Formats: sequence, C-alpha cells, structure tokens
Amino acid sequence: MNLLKMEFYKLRHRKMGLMVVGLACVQLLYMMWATKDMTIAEQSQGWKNGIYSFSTLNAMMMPLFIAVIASRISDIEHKGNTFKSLKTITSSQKLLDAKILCGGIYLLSAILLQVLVLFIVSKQRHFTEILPVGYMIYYVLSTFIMSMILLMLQLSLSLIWGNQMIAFMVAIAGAFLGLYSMFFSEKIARWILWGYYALLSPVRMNWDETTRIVDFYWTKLPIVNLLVVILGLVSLYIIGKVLFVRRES
Amino acid sequence: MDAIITTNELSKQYKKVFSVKDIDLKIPQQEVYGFLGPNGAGKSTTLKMILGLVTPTKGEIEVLGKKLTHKNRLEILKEVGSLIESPSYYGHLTGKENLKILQTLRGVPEKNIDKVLSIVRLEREKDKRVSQYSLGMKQRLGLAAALISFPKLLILDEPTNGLDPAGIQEMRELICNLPKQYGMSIVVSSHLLSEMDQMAHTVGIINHGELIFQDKLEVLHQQSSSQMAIRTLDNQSAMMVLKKQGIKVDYKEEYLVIPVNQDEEVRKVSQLLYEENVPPIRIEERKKSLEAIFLELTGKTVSL
Repeated sequence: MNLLKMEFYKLRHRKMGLMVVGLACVQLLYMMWATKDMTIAEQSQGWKNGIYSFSTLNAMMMPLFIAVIASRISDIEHKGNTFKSLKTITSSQKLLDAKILCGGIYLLSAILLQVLVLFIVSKQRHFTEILPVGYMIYYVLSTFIMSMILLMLQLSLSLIWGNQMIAFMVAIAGAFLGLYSMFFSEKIARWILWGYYALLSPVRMNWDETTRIVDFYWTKLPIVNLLVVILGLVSLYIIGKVLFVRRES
Repeated sequence: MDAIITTNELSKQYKKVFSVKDIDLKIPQQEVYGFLGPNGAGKSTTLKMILGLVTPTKGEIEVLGKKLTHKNRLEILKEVGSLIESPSYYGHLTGKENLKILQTLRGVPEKNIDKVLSIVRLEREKDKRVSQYSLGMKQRLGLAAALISFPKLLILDEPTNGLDPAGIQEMRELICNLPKQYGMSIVVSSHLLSEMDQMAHTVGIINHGELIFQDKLEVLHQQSSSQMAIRTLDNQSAMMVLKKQGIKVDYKEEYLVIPVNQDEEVRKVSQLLYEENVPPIRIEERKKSLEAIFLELTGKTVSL
C-alpha cells in the first residue's frame, strides 16, 4: 500500500490529474460538436451513438494517452537513476505492480469521466433512449481491460528503455492501426491489438448509402474478443514482469 | 561476528570476461573500509552484488552475519544504506519530498528526515527542487538518503565523484564522523588513493576484477620501504665514504639516497659522515606515496 501511495507521491507536480481532466474536456467538446444537430431518431439512439463514438475515440486517443501515463510513471525513475535505490528497499515485482496499479487508477478515472461526459451530453441533447445500465457497465469494464493491456505494453517499453521515443513510436503506430482496423473485416482486425477498442464495443452501426441514414444497434456481447484481451493482458504482464525483474541495475 | 561483510570467491562473468573474479572480502565493523581500484576494475559490480542488484556468477556473500540469498536480501538490506555510482533522486521533487519517499518505504520515523538533513547540512535547501541542486548538494542528498534509516552498514560507491575540492573535503568529513557518532560500518569505493589515505582504516585494492591487497592502511604504508635522502657540501666524497663502508647509495637530484629506515642506521650514517669531514647539511625521510605503492601492486600498468 505504501508503495502505491508513494507512486502517486512521486508524480506530484507532474499534472497527471490535469491530463485526465483535459482528455475528458476534449472528448466532451468533440461529443457536443458531433451531436449538435440531433434528430428525434438520433435522440432515440443517443446512448448507442455515444458508446459507439467513444469506442472510436478511444481507438484513436487512448494509445497516446496511455503512452503518456506510462512514460511519466517510468521516466521519473530513469531520469533520477532511482531503480538501483528502490531495488534495495523493495522487490522489482512489487515495484512493477505498484506502477501498474497507479497507471490503472488514472485510466479508470479517465474512463469514468467518459461516462460522466456521456451523461452531460445526454442531458444537453435530450436523449430519449433509456439509460442502458448493463451495457454501460460492460463498456466501462471492457474499455478498462483493453486499456490495461495497452498500459502493460507501454509500461514494459517505458520501463525497459530509458529512451521514451521507442514507446511513443509504438503508441502512435498503434493509434493509426487501431483506427484503420475499423475499415478491415473483423477477422483481420482481430490480429491488431489496438483494434480491440472497437471490437469490444457492444454497439454496431448500419449506414445506408442511399438514404444516408445511420442506425445503431446492440450486438451480442463480444465475449470471445474480451477473453482474447484478458489472455493478452495476462501474457503481457508475465512477459513484462520477467523482463523488468531480470533487468540488472 | 568479526566482519560486517564477508565474500567467498565472489565472481561475476559477462559473456566470457570476468568483471570480478574470486574476491574474498573481509570488511571489519565500525570503521571505514576503502575499496580501491582504477576505473573499470570491478568495484561497482562488487558492491552491486553485495546489494543484490547484480546476481553473482559464483561465490557467496555474507552481510551482517547472514548469508545473502534472493529470499532474505531485502530483510538484510533493511540494515544497509547505499549510494551507488551517482545519487538517485526525483528532480521535480524537493529534497525533503525525496527523503519522504524513502522514509515511508523504509518504514522509519518521520523525524529521521530532519535529522539526516541536518547531518548532511541541507536544512536550508530542503524545500528547493532537486533539479536546481548543485552536484555536491545532490551527492549530500544521496548520502542523506542512504542514512535515512541510520543503518548499521553504509555502502558508498565513489561518493566524491565529480565534486570540487571543497565538496570532496566536506563529504570526507561527513563520512569520517559516521563510525564514531553512529557506530556505523562504512564501505567507500574510490579510484582516488589520496582520498582513501585520509578516510579509511582498512583498504582492499581491486585490479582487473581481482583483489590484490586487503589489510590495514598502515600495512600498505609499511610496504613502502622508506629512504633517507642526505645532502652534504661534497656529495661525491660522501658517496665514496659510504660505498667504502658497504652502504648502498644512489645519487639523485643532488641528494644521496640510502635505503635505511631505522633511527640507529641513520645515526650511524650521519656519524660516519661527520667523522670523514663531509657532514650532512640536510637529511630528509622519503616515503613512497600511496600512488607509487598502488602502481607497484598493479604491475605499474594502471593509469589512474
């Protein structure tokens, strides 16, 4: 517990909270802009639209946001050469766990703020659709699990290499791949880690080319995709742990 | 328990090269042990192995009477403070905030922060961000961090590296006072021999990964057979007088250099010169410097 407390203490003056709130503000502005001329039909699909839009936004924004969080958590140790000091007080394993938890708490806060943004938009745009509590809980959980796998990846890269450019290059490439994977078939998209934000979404979209009408519908929860992500998370945790624990100071 | 650290055939091999080979350290309690060697000799690797930061290829380490293993490493290290290579710090935090992290993680009383800040004389700068500290201040903060739990054993790797002469002297004074004031045992590594001469009671010399000397500093000094340098008004005659008596004598820079170190021998030589009417006008004792001894021990090939 002390280790986790100290992880947050170390991040003082690093404006981490501001970053989380900043991301939510950008998302709120985007959502307000995207829903400014809602029709009655669209208001009746407000929540579906919101969850779908956030899945797309996450594929673009979360890889970079997670890379920044992971980099900040790791960079403070590289810059001050503190690993060798910390490793005489605690085990590498516990240190890594504390960093994952710390990053996880920032991510969960960002995702919960997304829900808050959706609530604000629903009130401002007068959604007529009933709040889908179950789907909302699934959205929060699946987005959090997906974000954790990216956090594991980014943390591993940021902790192992002092040069944070490597981690950022991976994140930028991931964000592009995640976004473009939406244009591929699901079979191909399944091979792209960053594409799972969209794959895990419980909402799908129909777009009629002739009438130019967009229709959202609930899909069967993609449990297989979720299991793939959970498996990936466990594997990345084990790989990251082995690499970080083995690393000599 | 005679020694606070004992190692047995401690070795570290990277690929095919031994960075440290079969080192048997015996570091006494409550004094300053100087771990001496040129750059790249294996000092840091040895100290890192003692702290469990590097896994030895071979050998055993005993710290505070307990054999160091992966399992008990952190338990043993609760009694050990360390400063390895450069000081560790969070530049965006203040000196006090940096110490607060270590104090919390080590689970020691909060009052220790002010105590160690006072020992290293950083009370005035405690609320300044460490990124604004000078190198000397960062080193002192590093020492304060190592002292935070008032450990029984303090391991300091090149603590004066990069400091100016005033900083070196200040750090030296701080280190020298610790065994007396707090009963700590201290291991200090350095490539500066003169520094060890002023700090350490016992020294270990490592070269190319091997321990080539380990004993009290006096023993190291004794290895330097002292010489007597005598100057007379007629050095040529004086040299002939001494040679006639079978005394080995060299002529160097207007001095007759005689390898004697006993008072009685000096008296005899002096008396002889008086009797032969070439009285000494100047007698000087010349001892080899630690540097010279070190170069001798390391085969005169080491560049310091």
